[in-house]
Amino acid sequence: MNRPIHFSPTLEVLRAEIVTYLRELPRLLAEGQEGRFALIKGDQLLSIWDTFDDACQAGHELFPMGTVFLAQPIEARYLNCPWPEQYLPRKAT
Amino acid sequence: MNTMNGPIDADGALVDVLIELSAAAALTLRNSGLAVPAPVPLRAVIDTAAEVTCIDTQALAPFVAAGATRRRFVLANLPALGGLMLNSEYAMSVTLVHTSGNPRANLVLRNLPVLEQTLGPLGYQALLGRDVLEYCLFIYDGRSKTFLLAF
Repeated sequence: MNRPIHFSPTLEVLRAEIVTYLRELPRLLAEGQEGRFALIKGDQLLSIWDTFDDACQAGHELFPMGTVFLAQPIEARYLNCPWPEQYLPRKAT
Repeated sequence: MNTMNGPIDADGALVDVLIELSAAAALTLRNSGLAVPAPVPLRAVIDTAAEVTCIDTQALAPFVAAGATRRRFVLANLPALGGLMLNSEYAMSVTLVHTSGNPRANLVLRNLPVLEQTLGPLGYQALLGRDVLEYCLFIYDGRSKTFLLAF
């Protein structure tokens, strides 16, 4: 990714879920889950689904309308993004 | 296949669309006994450079107020809006309105991920990207300043 990337301020709404996604992404890729969809709420990876619709439906069944959750495809390209500091998972000390 | 034609004006190839909550979100509201916002008509420009369809912030507002929330983030190339952008998406229902006025001729995409953008000052409220065009045949006839869209 050589071209500059603009980070939309709207990502802030999903900050906790993005941190969790980036924390779990290396492990999910190592397990061969690329292309599937991670359902994430806050700091918890709840489940993995085959399609975006399935992940969204599971989230709608778990949470009331308007609740923030992430139904994110598991993709290696997001490991290479120059994420701002606030989205990066903290390293264990 | 349904075909429609339109003029190309200073803003490009413009079409009418309707946006509303995704089918899943509307069902959730109905099951909760809550009102589902009415569809909102918009003008949209066909943007073959946009990977993902974008909708103006103000047009999305009634749906966000009703409980629509972002469900994933995406890295999208949107040259008209500055290039590569990492943004969050809403899942919405988007209907491309056929010029005949016959609703059965419309193209209806009931769970389309769309990006929120500020587009109002541009004279249209949506960019129809390649995620919609992948269901269409699009011919841009610059000589006669018309376009053809079939789906």
